[in-house]
Amino acid sequence: LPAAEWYSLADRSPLAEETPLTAPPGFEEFVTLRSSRLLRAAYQLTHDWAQAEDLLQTAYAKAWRVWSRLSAEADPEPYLRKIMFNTYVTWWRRRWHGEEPTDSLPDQRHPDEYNRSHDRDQLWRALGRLPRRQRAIVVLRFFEDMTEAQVADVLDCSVGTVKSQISRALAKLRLDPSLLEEVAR
Amino acid sequence: MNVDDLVRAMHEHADRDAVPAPRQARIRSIERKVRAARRRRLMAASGAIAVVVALVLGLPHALSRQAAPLPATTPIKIINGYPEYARGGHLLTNAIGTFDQHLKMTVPAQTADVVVVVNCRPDVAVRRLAWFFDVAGKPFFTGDCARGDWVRVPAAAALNGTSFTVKFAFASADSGSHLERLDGTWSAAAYVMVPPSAYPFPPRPRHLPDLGLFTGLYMGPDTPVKYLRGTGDETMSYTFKAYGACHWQCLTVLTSAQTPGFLHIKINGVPYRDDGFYDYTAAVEGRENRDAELAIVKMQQVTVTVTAEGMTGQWEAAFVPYIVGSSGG
Repeated sequence: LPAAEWYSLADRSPLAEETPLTAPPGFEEFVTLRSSRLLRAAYQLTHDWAQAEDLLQTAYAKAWRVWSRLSAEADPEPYLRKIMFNTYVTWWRRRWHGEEPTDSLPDQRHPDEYNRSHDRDQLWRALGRLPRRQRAIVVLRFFEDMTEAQVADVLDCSVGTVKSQISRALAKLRLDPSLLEEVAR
Repeated sequence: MNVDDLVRAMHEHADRDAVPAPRQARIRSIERKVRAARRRRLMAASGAIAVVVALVLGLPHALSRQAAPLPATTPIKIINGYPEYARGGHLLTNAIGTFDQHLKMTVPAQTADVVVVVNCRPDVAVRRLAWFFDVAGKPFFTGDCARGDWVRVPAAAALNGTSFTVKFAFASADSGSHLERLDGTWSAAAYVMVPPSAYPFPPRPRHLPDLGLFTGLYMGPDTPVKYLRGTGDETMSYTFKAYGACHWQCLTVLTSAQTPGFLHIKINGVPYRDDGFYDYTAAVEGRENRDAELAIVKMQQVTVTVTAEGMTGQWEAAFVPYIVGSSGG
């Protein structure tokens, strides 16, 4: 077959890398308006802003495929949150597997007026040492201020599981060595 | 400390040091993830199809021949659906696109030959889907999607150390010479050929398969068949005079080899456009190639040279020149 005929077919287009994807209708507006709140929740899970952004973007990318159905519903945000939390809980095999906050702060006594803040810092770090599922449940229950039934709906588990996981998570926080040290001092 | 402290700790940290991404950067990142997800889905589908085809084609063949089991291959990483090492090359780049898009790549300086492999899937079913690519503006190759061609771009054409674009065109070839433009998706990969010593060949089996697949090959009274047989790394050549003319695909080359390595074939000093890579399957199945570009004029003297590289066992090559007036032309 003559090359000229192939060229008439081949020369019709721009380079692959320069072709932008067309976002579904309403998607970009949603990203602009709703990302702040979701990103804060993602940060509670990952304890790292870059990873939080990555988690949020991954949730958006998953939602992209079903956006037409999602946007037809009243508000896509609960579904986005559901994708994000479930992605976080099930994504432990990937890059975040090794992520463990460390106690790298200098071990110093603080003036009394700063002690409460320091304790909350320790509490925050202890939160980062919880297993992923427990951390997700704690964030949904106490940061997102959801009821136990709502948490169960997001994570597709029973209310009983949510209750037991919260109970275990709080127990672990109470027994976290760094917090026990604080109490001992 | 109590739950109130926990809630307060979470809100304090969420309000502190927040570095949200700019809106456009976030959208672009999401687009990249969407593209990557599509690529993974296509690669998974391509892989599944390849496995099914391999099973359908390979299983009866294997059962009928009852060939000796080949040694287990060295585990090779799979990157976006393509093995890190394949056909004697190391993965340079891979991409996915629609039929109206092209593959852009940068070849490292002073690199060896590049091999390009293309998989394509049209949006509508066609009997035969052909593809074409050019390298840096020069028409290079036409192939068939169903055949899964691996095309070697010689180092001289690969513009070492520069970026260039491989332009694709895909068309239904159902209606003979008429090309019909199609829509669909391709995935492509480029491999840089590496020396045999740097390639993760499978371990040598205890018993090597016998050669002789092409012995007794008869193509017709006016079509001579010439054999070259060697052992290990050696160079052999065969010269013939064409008593007729041939305009394209003038020479069929049949090859097999007991051990992995390369058989570099040159015709009148020009590299043959086959990647020349062999593993343990060649001795069992044999390989057949016809160079689309080779033309022979009447009374031309043609010299075929075979250079084995990295071979440790026996190899053989059979050459069948097709000249106008001879059978099989």
